[in-house]
Amino acid sequence: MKTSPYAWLRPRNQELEKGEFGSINLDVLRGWSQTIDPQLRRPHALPALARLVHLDSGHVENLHGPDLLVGRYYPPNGPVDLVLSALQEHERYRLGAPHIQMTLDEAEQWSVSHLAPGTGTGVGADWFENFNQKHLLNDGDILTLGCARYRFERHEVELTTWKRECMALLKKAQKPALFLCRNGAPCGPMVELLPDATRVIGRTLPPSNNRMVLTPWDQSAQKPVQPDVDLAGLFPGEAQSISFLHAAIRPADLAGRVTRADLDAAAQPAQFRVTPLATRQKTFVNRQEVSESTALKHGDELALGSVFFYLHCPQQKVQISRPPLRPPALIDWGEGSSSVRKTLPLLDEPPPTEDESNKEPS
Amino acid sequence: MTSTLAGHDELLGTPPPSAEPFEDENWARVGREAAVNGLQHLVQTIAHYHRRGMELRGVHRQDLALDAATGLLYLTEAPRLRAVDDFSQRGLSAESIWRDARLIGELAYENFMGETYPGGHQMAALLQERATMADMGLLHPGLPQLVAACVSPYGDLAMLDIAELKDALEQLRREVVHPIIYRVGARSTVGNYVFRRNNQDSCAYLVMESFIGSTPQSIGFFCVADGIGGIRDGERASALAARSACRAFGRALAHYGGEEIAKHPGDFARAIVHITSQRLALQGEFEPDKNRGGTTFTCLILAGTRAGVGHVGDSRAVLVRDGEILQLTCDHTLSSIFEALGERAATAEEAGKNGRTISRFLSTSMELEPARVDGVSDAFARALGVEGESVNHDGFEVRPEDLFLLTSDGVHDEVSPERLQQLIAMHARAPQKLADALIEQALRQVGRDNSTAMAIRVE
Repeated sequence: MKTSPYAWLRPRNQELEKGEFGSINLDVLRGWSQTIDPQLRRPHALPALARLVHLDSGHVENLHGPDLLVGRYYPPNGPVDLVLSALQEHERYRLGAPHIQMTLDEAEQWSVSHLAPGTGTGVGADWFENFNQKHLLNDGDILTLGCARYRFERHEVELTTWKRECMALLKKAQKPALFLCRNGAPCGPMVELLPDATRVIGRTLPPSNNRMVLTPWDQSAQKPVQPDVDLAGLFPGEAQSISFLHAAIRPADLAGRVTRADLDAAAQPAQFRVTPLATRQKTFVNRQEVSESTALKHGDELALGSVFFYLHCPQQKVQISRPPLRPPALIDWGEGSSSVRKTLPLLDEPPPTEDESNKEPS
Repeated sequence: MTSTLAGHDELLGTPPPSAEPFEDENWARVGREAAVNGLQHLVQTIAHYHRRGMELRGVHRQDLALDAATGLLYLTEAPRLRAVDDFSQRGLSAESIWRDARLIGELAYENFMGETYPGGHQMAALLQERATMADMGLLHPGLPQLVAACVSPYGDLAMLDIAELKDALEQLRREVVHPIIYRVGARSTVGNYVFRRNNQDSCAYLVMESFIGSTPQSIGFFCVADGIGGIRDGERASALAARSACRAFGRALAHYGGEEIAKHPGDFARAIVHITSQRLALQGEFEPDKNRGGTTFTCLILAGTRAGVGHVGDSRAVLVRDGEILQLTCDHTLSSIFEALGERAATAEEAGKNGRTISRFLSTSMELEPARVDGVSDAFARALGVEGESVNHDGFEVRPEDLFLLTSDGVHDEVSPERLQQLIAMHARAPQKLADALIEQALRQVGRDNSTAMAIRVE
């Protein structure tokens, strides 16, 4: 029996996948289908507390949480809650990674702390470049991040209302679950963790059995298997920082070994352990990079690339405060991980000592 | 009479400043394809009135304006315009349609035959005799049919709707349409710098010339990639990018077909860049030791007379039109960023370094999100007089004689604008010679980089 050459092609949800490229189905161009989970593209489940309106483009960035790192994602400096998009290239250049921390305190007052070396932050006419000093932020203030200008606008949402809705959302989990966070707060979708099995988180891989698709493992006998949790449906700006096979999460008692981290956290034993699988994209627990198997317990923040997950276990006290910050290092401006940076971004290798006649134009 | 026109002024097409009152001599000089387009435009204008129950009661030459460059005909006056009394019951009469349409046949005849229209009665007699038609050379496929439809409101050939003329003109257009072909020349070289031991540049193209139904169709994909990072890694990255982009284009062509691609060449070009970027990230994840680099990537899709561009990095696409060099892409370098910030480099050395430091490329460590895949530069969109956003989706028009150049920085950093202009003037009709000449010129400089040039001439 003949099968259609496009049998692999998944029907598309036009509304969900409205992209940058009009009505083109990118799966056709790839030659294989990515799984787009519609849950991952639903609107944020929690109300926005405030928003930043980019003055040049009118692009709006909603702040859904009371404590956020805002700026650019540069992997060595850790994940950022709100990665600013729709910026011009020179605006990105002057943007820190992260640039600021924005917090809403119990008295419902927003404030901003500057975090990025080598650039500055302005509130109204005030300009500051010193770190970790809080500046109050009021509705309508013009917030300048490097050279990108935003108007800060508060929403009529009380912090108590927000907390109530956040707890209601977290309580929906019947089992321990990783809640996907966007713009500083759990946004709805969750990944339930199993008490007796390892789950690999990643993105759809191209098929190994299709000769029309060239894969990196064409020549090798070992073919990777699809991840258990497929995040290909995240928005492109999020998905880009997630590896195809990013991390494995397993229950802590599957492994017998007890580490010092477990002992330190004796008051609240680790329920799970996360093991990074990829070297190219980073994995963070509570904003600290981890490179080997690490304990993960109730209330921890796991970040895959710059995508945050909040681990919530039912029957445990809900905590909404975040662990403290480590000050970021100076941004080495460029793309990719630090290992790539060593050889980048000059197109030319710097020439070794060379006779001078070769350097001057003839 | 003017009172009937009131409220319908907006129906008259506003001619561009380049349009002038109709003159027979100008009309005779308009090319056939453009003339058919111009007549189509005029038919559309007339049909616009007819659909609203208005008759023009004859379109005369003095009512028209002609844009000699495009051949487009504009109706600027409608002195006899009148609403048809019982339009809702009976529609337009055959006489009314004929009266408004007869000029179309006359103008088509005059443009194709290069002589004055002999008059309706004589033409009606003439069309009865095949032998006479042959004698006077009224043989162009599609033309006698069009003229016959306009010659009389009576008989079997009389029109019931002016839309029939659209079909007749479409048939005629297919007979005169110029089959577009692309002639390509490409060359990529390691260069002659002693420390540059391999060629990290890649270039690739696919061109398909076809004849489908009764329509010739040409479509092509062209790309240049300049690898970055490590000795072998850059070479791998650029080669993989070129290969996977060509495959993606092949899939797009197989699935969507040339006509669909011609509608949105900008979207397709940028989508291919995004897909290529994802492919590189996949390779980087599963072969991290061999893929520490990345590549610039500049691609061009030509589909019939439409073009689209996808671009990341500091390779360049250039369009040479009427001897003028228009840069299609904006270099993604630190220099461009400092220019936007209004800052200047302190020293010439620093400026040179900024010019070579690229701010965006296809990396094997992280894919590039769609929003950061560029199309044409804002400056180019302005030069075309259109909005950049629309060019990046729907592409822009190409014309016969247009010349496209795709180059890596090993060429465009080494060849001065003046020299480039000279070489283009010398080899405008020979793309392979132009590509070779550009490389030769680059090799003669002290350049340390690989050099790649691709030239595409539209004919």
